[in-house]
Amino acid sequence: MTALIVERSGISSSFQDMGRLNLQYLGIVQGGCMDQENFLLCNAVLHNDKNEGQIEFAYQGPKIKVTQGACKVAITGNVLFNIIRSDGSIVNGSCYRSYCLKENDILDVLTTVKSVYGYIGFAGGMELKSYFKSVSANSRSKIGPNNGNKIANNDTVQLKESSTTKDEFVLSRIPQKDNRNVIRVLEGPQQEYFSSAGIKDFYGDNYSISNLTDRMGMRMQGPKISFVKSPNIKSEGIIRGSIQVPADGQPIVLLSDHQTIGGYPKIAVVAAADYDHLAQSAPGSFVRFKKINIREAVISYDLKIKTINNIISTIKKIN
Amino acid sequence: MIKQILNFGDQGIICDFGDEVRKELNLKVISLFNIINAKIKNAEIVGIKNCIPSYNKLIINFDLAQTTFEKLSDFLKSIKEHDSDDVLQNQKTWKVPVCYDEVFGIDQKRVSKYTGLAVSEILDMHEKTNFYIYMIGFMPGFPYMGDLDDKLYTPRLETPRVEILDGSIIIAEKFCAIYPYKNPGGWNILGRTPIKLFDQDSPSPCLLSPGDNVQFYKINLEEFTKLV
Repeated sequence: MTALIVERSGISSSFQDMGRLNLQYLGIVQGGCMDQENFLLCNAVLHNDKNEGQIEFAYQGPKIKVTQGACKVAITGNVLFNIIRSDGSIVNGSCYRSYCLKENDILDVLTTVKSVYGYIGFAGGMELKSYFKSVSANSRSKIGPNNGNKIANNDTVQLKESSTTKDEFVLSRIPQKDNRNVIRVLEGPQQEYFSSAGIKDFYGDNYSISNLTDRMGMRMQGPKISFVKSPNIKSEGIIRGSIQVPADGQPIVLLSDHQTIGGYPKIAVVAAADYDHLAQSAPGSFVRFKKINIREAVISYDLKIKTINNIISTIKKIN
Repeated sequence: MIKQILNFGDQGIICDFGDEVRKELNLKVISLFNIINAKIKNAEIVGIKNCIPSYNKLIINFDLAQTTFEKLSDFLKSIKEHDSDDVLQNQKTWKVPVCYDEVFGIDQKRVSKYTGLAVSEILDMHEKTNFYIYMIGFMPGFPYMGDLDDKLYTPRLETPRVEILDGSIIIAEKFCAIYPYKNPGGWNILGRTPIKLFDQDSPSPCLLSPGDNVQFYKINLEEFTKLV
């Protein structure tokens, strides 16, 4: 058996997989990892099932010690981390590769770089109780293992299997650094609520990502979007990536742990291809929204999936 | 029937049933939802991640890697029969105990002031209302129920409360709801139920479903304490 202890929880560290489906009609949101690409790559480099649960963290990651047994770990994202071996030697970690850890080795995840979320996966996965076929934690709805709470100091985790191999793997091709600040969106379903000047402002100017941003939503600051009628609609189902505009005229992008229904008009919806990139954009940075049509959105998403699969196909054993 | 089928971003579809908030129209939404939900469970349709009924709309969230807007809108158009009678025949009626004691019903006086009715009249009217669940959402298990008598129309609080207790029975405008657990909120609190609406550890975690009915019955503080 392999057991781990969380010596430092880091910021907003939680268990996540791809979330729970077809329960939104009961008020249960899909949730799940904020950056699907890095989540998928982490499981791929570990030869895990696509949906195996991982630890997601924001900015500063956890410090985790192997208290018993051995394991294989991988980190994805743009993340600085060290492995402190039991003899005291320190290895500077690289993302998109796996590392074998032995008893008393420590994984110290220092920080994400110019991004928000990082992923830690273990070969074979962690022993976690699944709720509605998912281990994703939703702290606001209190759903998931440990009542959906975030990971805390001194929490312990057991792995489903101990690592018996010394083989480590790497993705030879890694995702390209993506510094563009343009986020592609589709026209939202309630255009008629916004003035033409408001719509022009939304697409024509920069919006900065405010500090009031978490797994539930991203508040943007920029030109105030004006309405032609009262900004209240009959509450209706929300989809991840919807950009709603409340009365103050400042857009809010609804992210993975969004509320299941909402009553504000939606000016736009983030294209599926750009969701991960937006979720990884840190507060303080600027984005500009660019309108595309459905056809362009479908092509870009297809391209994104192909790129991920292509990266996964470059996995090789490290000699 | 569906008035129009619209895009919702690149991974969503809106089935629009009209503008009004009334039970007859919502029954049509729920009836289509039930058909689709059954097809999802029987794996007769792929790629749907969520199907979300609300007052007058059914919104579908799909996986762009598995299906398309065109395929799903053809599928929707192929569903010929969705009859509200099916929902009416299968809907459950839940009897929910409520304690209207002043310790819980902290907004009874506010509602009385706003409506000009005596507190006893308000509670009596509330208890006798046969509530219909339009939708569940906002948080797990939270039912949006209607319709309250027009005379009970009271707006939300101007400043929402930081915390409302779990089980609180709340009203605003023509709607009534129950808080599944502690959360902030701006509705008027009339009482509290000891019943747990949502429990992720239970084999049937969510008590209520959209399209069900709820009837309240009065209990006193002593009975409330026993049932908790």
